Amino acid sequence: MPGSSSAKKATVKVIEFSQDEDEPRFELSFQSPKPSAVHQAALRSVIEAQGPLRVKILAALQQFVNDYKAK
Amino acid sequence: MVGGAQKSDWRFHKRICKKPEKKKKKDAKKPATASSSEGSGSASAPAPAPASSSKPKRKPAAATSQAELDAEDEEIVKSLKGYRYFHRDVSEHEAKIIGDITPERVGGNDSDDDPMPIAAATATPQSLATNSAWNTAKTWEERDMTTWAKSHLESLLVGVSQDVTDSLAEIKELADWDGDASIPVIRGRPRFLYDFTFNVRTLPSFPRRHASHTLPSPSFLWGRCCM
Repeated sequence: MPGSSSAKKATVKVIEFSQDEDEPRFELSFQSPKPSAVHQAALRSVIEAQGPLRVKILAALQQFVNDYKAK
Repeated sequence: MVGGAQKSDWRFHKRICKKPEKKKKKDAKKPATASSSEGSGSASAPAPAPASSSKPKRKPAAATSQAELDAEDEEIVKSLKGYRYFHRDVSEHEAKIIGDITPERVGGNDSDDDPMPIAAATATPQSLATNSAWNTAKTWEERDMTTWAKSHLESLLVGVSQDVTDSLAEIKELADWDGDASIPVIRGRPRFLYDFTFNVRTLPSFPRRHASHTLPSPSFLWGRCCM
């Protein structure tokens, strides 16, 4: 059925987001109910280096740093 | 020396000591009784006759000295007036100098009892990276920004989404926070410190039919084979 979806859970762990690091590390993990291997791979593709989701997260983190330093 | 000191301080010690002048008069009259008492010894009681004869002579002297003491006491009390820390009457001259000391309301005669509002400038975000007004020596100050940082990161990250092939991966929440953020102001210079580790939970929505039936291309899977 088109449009129906299954609620799969994925978590991106942002590690060591600090002023001493140029860029935090990202770890992708999946929780039950896990997406299929195909979609796990698709998610990995967007969170890996230069991946679009990773770029968006990094842009949000940079925005946070800018707002923080404007305090 | 001692006698002189006693004379100068006489008015303060007169209750304890005797007047030197009267002592001389009494000493001139007393030698017989004094010698008799010395001769009889300290252990033996004095004879009743001389004791009874000396009493009538002493009574008027004691009465007069009592009257003199009362008069002198009054003078001393008058002279000491104003030197007692526990009770002090303010003279008219002092009252004129002091003036009206009735407590007055701070901040004018406003009838409103509400406390005065703090100036909004102290609560502006700009002041967070500077020393407090009281800290003129520019000593170490540190402000905890953890709560603000968490909420601000959530506002920036939650809602970020990305198309993933045939679905949408959207960040729903941030969880499992570890770390903190603070702005220490050291020697007048702010340092913006933050160190966080957190989980970005995404709920990718995959169409069921695609998840179960679509065969991925080998290039998309980076060498993984699902066939």
